[in-house]
Amino acid sequence: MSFLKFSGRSGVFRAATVLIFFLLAMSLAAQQNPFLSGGAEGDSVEDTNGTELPAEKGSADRNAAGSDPVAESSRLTGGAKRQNSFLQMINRFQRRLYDQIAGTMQAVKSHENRGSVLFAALGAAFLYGLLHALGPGHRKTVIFSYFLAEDAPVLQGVLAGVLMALLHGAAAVGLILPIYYVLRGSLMVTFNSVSRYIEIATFGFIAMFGAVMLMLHLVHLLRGGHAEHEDSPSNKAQNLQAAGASKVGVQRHRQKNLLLLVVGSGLVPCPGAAMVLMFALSMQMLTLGLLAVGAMSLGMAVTISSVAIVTLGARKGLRKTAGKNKGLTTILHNVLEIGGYLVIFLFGTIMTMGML
Amino acid sequence: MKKYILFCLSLVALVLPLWSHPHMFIDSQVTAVFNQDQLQGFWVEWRFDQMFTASIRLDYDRNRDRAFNDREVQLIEENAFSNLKNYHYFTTVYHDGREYKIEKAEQFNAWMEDERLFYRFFIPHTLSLSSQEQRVKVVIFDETFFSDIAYTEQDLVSIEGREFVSAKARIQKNRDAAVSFDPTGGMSREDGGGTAAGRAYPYELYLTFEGK
Repeated sequence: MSFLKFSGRSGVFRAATVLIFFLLAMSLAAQQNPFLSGGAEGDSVEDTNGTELPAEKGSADRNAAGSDPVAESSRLTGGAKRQNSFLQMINRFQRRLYDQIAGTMQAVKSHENRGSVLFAALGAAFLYGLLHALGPGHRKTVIFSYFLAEDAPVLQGVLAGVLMALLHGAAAVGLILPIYYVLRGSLMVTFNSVSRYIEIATFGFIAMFGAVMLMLHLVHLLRGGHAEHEDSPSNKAQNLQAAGASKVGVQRHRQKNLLLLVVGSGLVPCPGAAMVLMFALSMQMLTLGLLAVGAMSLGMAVTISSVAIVTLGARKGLRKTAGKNKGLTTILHNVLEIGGYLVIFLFGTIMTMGML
Repeated sequence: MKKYILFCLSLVALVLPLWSHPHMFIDSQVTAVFNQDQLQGFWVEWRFDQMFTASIRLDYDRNRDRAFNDREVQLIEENAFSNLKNYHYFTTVYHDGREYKIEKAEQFNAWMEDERLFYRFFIPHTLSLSSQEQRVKVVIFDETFFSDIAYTEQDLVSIEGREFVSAKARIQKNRDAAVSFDPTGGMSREDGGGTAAGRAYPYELYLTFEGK
């Protein structure tokens, strides 16, 4: 795994690539269930007369326009294996995993060897959570942007990822159970509607958090402040005791900010966890549902924590490379700090506007 | 350097397609319906995964008899189907060089079979029969990538009204019509071939027929 080390000259490229990759990998769209009334609305433009196809459309359109479909089909059959895109492979894998979760959860109810079936069910839920967290979602973006802006011990990054994932699953449980047991309303429609409001509030919070942090750091910078960091060489000139006390104070302040961001942005209920819980409720197996949601959350925690670890590693790699050059260190620190909070602000703003 | 490139490519390959992960899995079947004068339209039947089945049952099987009565079917249609109009029921029909996005679905029904939820609805789309061979293509694909719609077997296309037409149908993937997930919200359809991460190639129903 030498390519995961971010030190040395080539490490700078690796670190920069990882950071740029995460920036590019941000999803700026929340997926909504198109089946549910009151949910997202797509394009509903009336088009009863059809739209004329451009002359140079794909082969299938030529096919519909007049070429021989049988000959065309034969050609396509010949290339069938090649046409299986990676996305469709992943979809097929998730489809099997989904069946596996449902099948094993049903088996827990009836199977003699409950222990091994339960283990298989929770394993499948864990794996599904791991894959699920790789999909569109704001958690990875928030974690990446925050740890781009602020350095932190790796353990703190891992804990932030775990807490975020657990909150994501717990929020689904906290929403589904009252609707099912107390309100006795339509689970899916209510879940969808309430989730939408929570998402709007969450994205608004993320935008505000980013704006406030961005302003504070910009004001600090404009007043002539520079990189104040735990490993900053500028601390050498200061009184050691005062520096130590200041360092602890700064760390506590950062931890509070991180906790605020994680809790504030982590309360969007997970639709995947909600589906798994509803499935368990349909079999009258609440405990199994809660265990499966827990396993799924742990799977998501692995993915989100990995983003934190890789981001912190890349960040440290960049800083280490610039370490001996004081001027470059200050510039890099300011760029990462301002850039990270700018990403949080822009992401929150775009998502909020997109949801309204 | 090779390891570095491999590392970057692995990251892209792993994460890019997973931007768009389906939350629902549907097996689809299509029946083309003819009378003596024309193609009348298509019956579409969807079989849903166990999770979506369970959530619909929890919400709409009000009397908990593991089946849906007329009132329950009506509720399902209102709350968990009619919104698909905004997505053209995921269906596009092509013929005579034109593309028709579906605006209407009729005769909706929902039922349970082997512990799975089924939807069935009719898409009216008329085309007069002629003695010449005619070609129609039907594409059923959720371009929001929320649901993954698949044909599990090759023979899942039926013809109703074979006494009026001689018809052939088959389902294929079209490698010249990739759909890519767009992380800024929505999707983009691409023309031109090539296989890449983040793209899907919708299954397409090719129907060839001529009046008897």
